Amino acid sequence: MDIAIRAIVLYLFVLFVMRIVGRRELSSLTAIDLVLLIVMGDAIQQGLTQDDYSVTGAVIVISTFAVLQVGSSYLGYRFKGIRSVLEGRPVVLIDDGRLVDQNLRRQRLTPDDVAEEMRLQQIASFDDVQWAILEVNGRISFIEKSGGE
Amino acid sequence: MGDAIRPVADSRAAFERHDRVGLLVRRAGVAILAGVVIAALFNVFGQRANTAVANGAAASVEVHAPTVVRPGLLYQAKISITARSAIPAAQLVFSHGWFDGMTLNTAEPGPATETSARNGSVIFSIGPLTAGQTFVQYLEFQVNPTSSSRRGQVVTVRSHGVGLVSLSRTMTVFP
Repeated sequence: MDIAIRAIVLYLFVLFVMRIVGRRELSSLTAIDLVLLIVMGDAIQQGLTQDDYSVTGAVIVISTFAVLQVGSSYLGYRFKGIRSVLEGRPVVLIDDGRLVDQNLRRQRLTPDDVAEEMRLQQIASFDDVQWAILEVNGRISFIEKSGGE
Repeated sequence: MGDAIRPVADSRAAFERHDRVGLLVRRAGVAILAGVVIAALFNVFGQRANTAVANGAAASVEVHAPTVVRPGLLYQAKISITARSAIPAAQLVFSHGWFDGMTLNTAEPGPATETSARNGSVIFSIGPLTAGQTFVQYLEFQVNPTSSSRRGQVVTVRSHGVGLVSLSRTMTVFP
């Protein structure tokens, strides 16, 4: 019983941490992010299974995570409000060539970060961008003025 | 229709039929997983402790310990003896099911003497108990990873070789 409860609590906790950490960290893994993710995984494993070496325990944990994942995706599919809580909402970073400073600040992004993403997508100037949107998966999608109109 | 699309389009009906079957299989799979989680929450796989009591003329014995455990887990067995009349030389006799495939980390209080019988039982000598006195024995176990089984566990209170009260329970060790 306790192992299923631990799995539920840790799933909710990880979901909470992933939501408050922000999307920037999800999209760009630096070396320290990678190390922290590994350390977090190890800490979660210890809290989750503790001394349990059993196949039964592993089956319970995996089943619990799978059911929670299916359940949360179903709730997100059925209810828009829950989807925005679980996954967040897309955030506009550039509107008609102008950076939306408030949104950049909230997402801890600098204009240089946006410019870097633009260069990766062969976009030379902010003026060429109709919309830049930080998607829920942490990536930035750009819609160019010529292509968007 | 392009060459790349035609094979997919031709087999569309078959694909849709398979997709329906696949959906049913997937839903059945999720239902089975949900069943596992619900069963786990209802203690089917351990290891919440429960209490069993046996009463005799001279004494009663109560065991508070889990009956379902999994390899690697630590658990406590709390055995309480209440003497109804004076017991001059109380002993706790544990059947081998208590110790087979288990690591006994500690027993508190430590018995005055600890011996083994021919049938593999382990005997703790407690000493005299006065009428109305309660003696509590704590045993701290860890389940060995290779001990998956279902075994009987009997604990008997005896004095001078005479059994006063006995309690039987079954312990399941999941793989």
